[in-house]
Amino acid sequence: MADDGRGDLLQGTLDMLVLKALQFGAMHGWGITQRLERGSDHVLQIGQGSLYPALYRLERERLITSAWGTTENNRRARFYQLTVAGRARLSEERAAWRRVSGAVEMILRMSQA
Amino acid sequence: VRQRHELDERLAEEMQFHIDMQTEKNVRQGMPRQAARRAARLAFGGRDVHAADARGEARSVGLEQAGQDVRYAVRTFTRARTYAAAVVLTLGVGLGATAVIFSVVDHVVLRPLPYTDPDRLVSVREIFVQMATQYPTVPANAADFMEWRRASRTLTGLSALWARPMTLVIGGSAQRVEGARVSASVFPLLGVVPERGRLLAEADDAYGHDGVVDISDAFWRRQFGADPLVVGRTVTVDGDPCAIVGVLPAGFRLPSDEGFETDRSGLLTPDVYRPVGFAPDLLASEGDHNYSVIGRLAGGATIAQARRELDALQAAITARSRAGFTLRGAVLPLTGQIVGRVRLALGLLLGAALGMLLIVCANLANLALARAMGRLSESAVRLAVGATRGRLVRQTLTEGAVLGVVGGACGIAFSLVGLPLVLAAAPATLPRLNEVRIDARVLLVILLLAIAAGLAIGALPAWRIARGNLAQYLISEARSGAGGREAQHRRFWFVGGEAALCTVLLLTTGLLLISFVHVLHVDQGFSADRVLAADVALPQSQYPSPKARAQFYDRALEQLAAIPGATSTAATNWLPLVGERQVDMLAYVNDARPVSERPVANIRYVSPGYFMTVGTTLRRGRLFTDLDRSRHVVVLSERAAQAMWPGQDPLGRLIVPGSNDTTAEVVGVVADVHTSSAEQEGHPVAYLPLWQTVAPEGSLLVRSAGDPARLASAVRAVISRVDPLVPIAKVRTMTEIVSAAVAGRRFQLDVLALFALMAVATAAIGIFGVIAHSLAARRREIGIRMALGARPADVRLLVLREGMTPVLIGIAAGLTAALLFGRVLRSLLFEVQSSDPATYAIVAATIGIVAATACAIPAWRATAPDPIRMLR
Repeated sequence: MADDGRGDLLQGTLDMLVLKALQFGAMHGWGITQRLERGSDHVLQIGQGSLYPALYRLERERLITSAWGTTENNRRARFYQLTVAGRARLSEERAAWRRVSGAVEMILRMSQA
Repeated sequence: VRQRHELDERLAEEMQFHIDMQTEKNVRQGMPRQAARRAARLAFGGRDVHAADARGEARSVGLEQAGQDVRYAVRTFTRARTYAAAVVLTLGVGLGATAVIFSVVDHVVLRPLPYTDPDRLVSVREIFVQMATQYPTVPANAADFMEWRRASRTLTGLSALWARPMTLVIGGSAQRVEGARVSASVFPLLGVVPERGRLLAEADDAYGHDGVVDISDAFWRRQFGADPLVVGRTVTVDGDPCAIVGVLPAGFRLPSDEGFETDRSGLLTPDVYRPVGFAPDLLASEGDHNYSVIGRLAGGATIAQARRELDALQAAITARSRAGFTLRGAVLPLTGQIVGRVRLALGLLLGAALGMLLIVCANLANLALARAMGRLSESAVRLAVGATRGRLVRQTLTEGAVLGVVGGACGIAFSLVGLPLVLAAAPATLPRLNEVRIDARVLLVILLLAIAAGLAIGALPAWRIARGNLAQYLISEARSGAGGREAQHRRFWFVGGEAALCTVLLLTTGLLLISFVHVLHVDQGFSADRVLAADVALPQSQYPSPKARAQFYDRALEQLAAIPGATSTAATNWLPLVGERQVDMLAYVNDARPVSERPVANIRYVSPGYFMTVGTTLRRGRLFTDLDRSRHVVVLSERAAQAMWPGQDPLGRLIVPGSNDTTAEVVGVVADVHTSSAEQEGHPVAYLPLWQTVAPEGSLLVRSAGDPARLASAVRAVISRVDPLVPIAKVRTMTEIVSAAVAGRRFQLDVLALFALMAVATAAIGIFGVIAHSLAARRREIGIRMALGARPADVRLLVLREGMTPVLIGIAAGLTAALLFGRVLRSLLFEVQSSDPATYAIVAATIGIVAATACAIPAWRATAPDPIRMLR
């Protein structure tokens, strides 16, 4: 029960991707999904229903902040931006991800041999 | 709340923005606008779910969240209507049945009696040490009562009461009503305040001053049309003019345990209350024991002290007595006297109701778990997008609680319908039955039970979600099907537990059923079929002498015999099976034994046709004839003859039956009859010819060729033709009297059987569901087995063995539990041991067969279709 699910691989991954998407500037939710989908050559389909909870949670953890802004089409939208803590978290997560994916890759190669 | 509102608005706006953007994109890709919008919404998926999760992330836990969980649960169930309806209805039936039984138990047994400080009220009875095996305690003698009242320091407000029918003449027409002679002190003792007029006063108790009555509220309304001027009117009660001085409050009931048998105790509703007015000859008599005595423990006194004091008083009375009986006193809590005898029986029914409810809940918990497993991927996804595990657990529990509360409401609705049906079936001997209703207390208990049941239903899936890695579970469950170890354990406990509970319930029912059948087959000593009995009471004024009364009976018997269809007719002062009456000693001529060592018998007066009419067999000698009018002859029951002349021929011997000192010759011996209980053997009876002491109260009996009930109106007509002023108290068949004597047992059995059948059916459905579910999950395994050459029969056997192992263990556990705890049932059983092997075997076999069927049907289904198709 103490485990609030933060350890789940899937969720941690989504958090990292969101942080990554915001690395180069503020963005609204829709933009984030579009960037992630395009960036992954449409392999990753980000469910809106997963995205917003993740955004709200990251904001609560003070890894990102948000404010109302205007889109290029003059529509009001909520823009999200990385905080300093968010930037730090992104590099941590990145390092961890490299370690893990490297390990997995190693195992996969091993079983091929 | 404002914060929450802002959050909702922000969320809504962001979602709307998102959908709009998606729509634009869809349009850009060539979709018509409307379809594009729909597709965008679809892509968004379960908006409710995600919105709830997102909100949950952004806000702290609070009461508000509970409300949110409830709304979410309700939304979920509006989507899964069939599931919700099934749960609510099943739970409703279980809770409704429990509510009905609880309301009966609560009002009859648990609640304090409706009197001032009822826990300090006691019933005082006498013990004849020499007769204690036959009659453990007996009602009080008037003189003894007066002595206690004078001398006792531990008991206050001691009051005597004797409930019996009275003949009332109001404005020239006579009627029989339920009445009671009471000490005036009984009203302050019980805390009664009159509705009108005044209560009986101490001065009214004295003999010769007892020409006043209080009447019940019901009688005031029924008889006098709630006439405000009723106080001061004069009515004739048992031949004496009496002034009505007051009306008692509505709903007042008189506690009474005046019978020789304590199972005739209860709360009575007499219409007329007259002061005791002990006559001088009554106070001089040692042998009359008719009065129920109640009192209150004096401040600080305990029951033990009261008992010691009463024993001392009784010792003094014994020393003065001529009869040679050793007297002791019994001081018993009044509540126990009134409701004690039904406590175990009703407790058993409540236990059965709860057992059934437990099986229902187990089934529903299992159903909820199956459903939760089906939604595991949803749960996994929700966890992944950020809902916390605690949140999911809370939501699952909330779903259960919502089902529980709605099921509880449904149960209350069912109980409102069911209670009148149950009350209609309940025996009249159940005390306080008229108080039973579904009230706030019952509602509260049912609500708590409903919530507990709901949480229990939600707990299993909640625990599943709370535990460990869902994704991993998904994988393992998918791989091993429902054959996973955890699922196996769960199935084992579920199936085994339900089988054990059913075994206990069915076993109890079986034992009571056998008892009931045995009771029905007991030879009561008379044959009840086709006999009609009409109780009459001859008014003292018109029939002052035995001779006048004999004339009435002669004329009535003559005319009754002329009714078409009547095959024989008779009169008696007291019927079998309705209680002990005129219990007295039998003596030899010049009997040297002290009174206390003489055999005790019921003295009854019967006309010559009596034995033939009620079907009591003559064993030796002869019956009465018309020629016995002036002869002093007696017919003894076998037990009475045996008590007087063990092993010898009683015919021709002389006997002094009772205290009237006349000697009579024994001319015949007849079969024993059950005097007061269908189950316990009757006491000895000495029958005397009716003419010798024609009591004013008695019964006319008619044996008919066909259905005796059809003669009822003809019998009434005859009686009113002979004398229209003779009130008829009751006309009923002897079969009805026997039915009334076994009504308590029948009620208990009916209710218990209903619960047991519901429990077995519920458990069968549950076991069927569990096996079917596990087989559905193991389709692949079965397919492989069959593809590898296993025959369908082998697979079925495998399934049966897996399903039946817990069933058999459960049955064994149930039988063991019943064997260990069966002794508590002993007092409810009749001529069957609580460990009756045949019953055990039949119950075990029944549950085994039902469970095997529940396992076999899914096993057959699983093996029937083409195995290759299942592999795909």
